[in-house]
Amino acid sequence: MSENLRNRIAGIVLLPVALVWIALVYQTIAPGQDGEVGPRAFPLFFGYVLAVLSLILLLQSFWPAAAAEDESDQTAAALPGEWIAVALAVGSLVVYGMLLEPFGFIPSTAFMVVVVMFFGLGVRSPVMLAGMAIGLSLGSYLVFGKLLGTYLPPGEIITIYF
Amino acid sequence: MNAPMDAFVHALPVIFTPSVLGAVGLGTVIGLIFGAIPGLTYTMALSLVLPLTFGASAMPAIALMVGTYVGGMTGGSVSAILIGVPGTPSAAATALDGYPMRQAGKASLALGLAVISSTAGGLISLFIMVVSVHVVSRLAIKFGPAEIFALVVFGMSTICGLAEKSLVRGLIAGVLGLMLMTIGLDAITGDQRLTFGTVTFQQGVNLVVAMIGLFAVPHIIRTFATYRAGLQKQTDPQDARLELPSLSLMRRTFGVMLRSSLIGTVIGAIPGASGPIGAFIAYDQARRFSKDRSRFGKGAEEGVIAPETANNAVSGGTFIPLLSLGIPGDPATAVILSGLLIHGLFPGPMLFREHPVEIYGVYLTIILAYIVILVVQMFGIRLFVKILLVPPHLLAVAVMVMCVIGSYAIRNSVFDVYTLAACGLMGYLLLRARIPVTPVVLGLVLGPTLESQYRTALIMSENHFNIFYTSPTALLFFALALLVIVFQLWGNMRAKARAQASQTVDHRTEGIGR
Repeated sequence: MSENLRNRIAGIVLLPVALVWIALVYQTIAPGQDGEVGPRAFPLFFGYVLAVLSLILLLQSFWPAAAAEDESDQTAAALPGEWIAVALAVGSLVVYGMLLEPFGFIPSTAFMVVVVMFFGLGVRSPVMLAGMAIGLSLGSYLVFGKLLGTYLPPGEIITIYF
Repeated sequence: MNAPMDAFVHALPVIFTPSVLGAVGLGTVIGLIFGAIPGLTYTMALSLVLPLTFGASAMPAIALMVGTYVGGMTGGSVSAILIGVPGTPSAAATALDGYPMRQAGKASLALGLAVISSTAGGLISLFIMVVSVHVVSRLAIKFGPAEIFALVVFGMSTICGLAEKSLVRGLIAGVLGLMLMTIGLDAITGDQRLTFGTVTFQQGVNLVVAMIGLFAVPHIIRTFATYRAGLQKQTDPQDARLELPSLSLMRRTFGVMLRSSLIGTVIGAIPGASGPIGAFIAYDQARRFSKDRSRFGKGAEEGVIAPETANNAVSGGTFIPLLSLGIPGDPATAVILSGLLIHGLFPGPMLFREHPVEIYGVYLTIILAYIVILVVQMFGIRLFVKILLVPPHLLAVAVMVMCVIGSYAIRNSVFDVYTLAACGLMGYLLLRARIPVTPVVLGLVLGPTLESQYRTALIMSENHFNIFYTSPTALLFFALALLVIVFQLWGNMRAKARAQASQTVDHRTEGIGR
C-alpha cells in the first residue's frame, strides 16, 4: 500500500471522527460562564485541530509522492490473515473482561488461555494447553493476588478464594 | 566541626544496620517487580508497602519507601526493553530505542545501560539536591500555573522530534492522546465530558491502561498473526546472552548522562511536572545534539541512556520540594510524604534544622537504594533475558493475561479492561496508518496538566492573558518550544530538498547511462 493511499484512508477515517467529536462536544458540554475558559474549550480545540490535521493529511495524499518510501522501516506490511489476529486479540480481551467478575479470575484466565491457544493459535498439545492455563491462572493469582496484594475478582457465580 | 559533617557522621551508623539495609533491599525488589510489570505502578507498590512501615521505626520505614520508589522507577525499563511495553509511563521514551535494541539481539546491553543510567541519574540528582536544596526549592516555588503550562507546551513540542517522517501524522497522534484524556469528569467544574450519560465513562480513560493498550495489544496482534502465518522465527539463544556495557561506551556517553540528569533534576523539582516530561525532553535533547540523528528510534544507545537517566534524576529532583517544602510532586511522593508524617518527620525548613541526622539518613538511603538496585539488576538481567527464550506466541498469551491483571487492578474496574481492548484496537489502526504511537502517550500524559494549568492560570489572573507573557520563565519555555518547532520544520525542509536533489541527479544519470 503506498504512502499516499495510506494517508488518504487515514484522513478519510479521522476527519469524520473529528467532526463527530466536535458535534458531540457542542451538544453535550456547556460553555464556560462569564467568558471564562469552560469545560468545553479544550475538547473543542483539540477536535478542531484534529479536523484540520486530517484535512491536511488528506490533501497531502493527492500530491505526487515526494520521495520513494523507505520500506526498510520496522512497521512492515500486513501479514495475510492479520485481521483474524486482530479479532482474536481484541475479542478475547473483551470476552475476558466480561467473564472476570461473574466467574472470578482463576476460571476466566484458564478458560481464555485455552480458548486463545486452541482456537486462535492452533495449539493441540494437551500438556501445553493445561500447563499454560494452570500456570498462568494459578501462578498469577498466587504472585499478584497473594504475594503482591493486588485485588483479583473471586467471582460471583463460581467463587474461588483462598 | 561543621554541622553537616556532624549530621552525616551520625547518620552513618543509623543507616548501616540490618533493619535499614534489609528494608532497602526489600523495597527495591518490590518496587522493581511492580515497575517492571505493565499496569502495576510504583504508586501502587508504595501504597501497599506503607502499612508495612507502621510498626517499624523511622529510618527503616523511610528506607523501605525510598527503596520501593527507586526500584519502581528503574523497573519500568525492563518491560519497555524486553517486550516493548513500558512498565511505567516514565519508561515510554526508553521503549523507543530499547525495544529495537532487543530486536537486534542486544537486550542485555540495553538493560545494562538502563540500570547504569538510572543509577547515574539518581546519584547525580541526589548530589545536586544536597548542595542546592534550598536554592532550588525557592526557584521551584516560583513555578505557578502559567509557568508549568509553558513547560508542558515545551514538553509537547518534543513531539516534532518523535514524529519521524511526517510531522502531520505525529501531531495527529499527539492530539488523539490529548482528546482521549478529556473524556470523563472535568477536573475544575465537574461537568461530564463525553460520558454519554453513563457512570462508567465518568471514570475517564486511565493513562496506564491506555498506554498498555497502545503498546502491548498491537504487539500481541503481530505475534499472533506471525505465528498463524507460520512465520515465527526460532528464538536465537544468542539474544539471551549476557552482555554488559563497556567502559568505553560509558565514557563516550557521559555527556549525555550529565545533561539528562540536569534536565531530570530541574523538572523533578517542579511540583506537578512528572517523570515522562523529563524523559521525553532528555530524549529529544540527546537526539538533537547527537552527530547522527537517524540512529534514534532504531536502537541508539543514547536513546536508552537519556530517558533512563532523566526519569531517575526526576525522582531525585522530586525530593527537593518534598523535603524542603513538604510539597509532593506526584502521587508516589505523596505516599512518601504520608510515611514521613506518620513517623514524625515534618518536611519543611524546620526538618533541616531539627532532624539533620534523619535528612542525611534519607540521602544515604537513596544512595544505598541505587547501589542495591544496581547489584540486583546485574544479577536480574541474567534472569530477565531468559524471558526472550520463551516462544513469542506463548509469551504473547502471558502478556495478555498480565495486561488484563494490570488494567483491572488499577481501579478494580472491568471498564478498564474494555478500555484496554479499545486502545489496543486504536493502537493497531495507528500502526497500520504509520501514525507513531509515542506522541499519543505524550498527549495522554501531558493533556490533563496542560488543561488544568491553563485554566487555573486564567482563573488566578481573572481571565487576563498577561499572566502568560509577563512571566520570564513562561516566556523562556514558550520560546524554547517555538525554537524546537522551527528547527524541526527547517530540518524537514532541508531533508526534502536534499531528497529532491538526489532524485533529479538519479534521473539525469539514468538518461546518460542509456
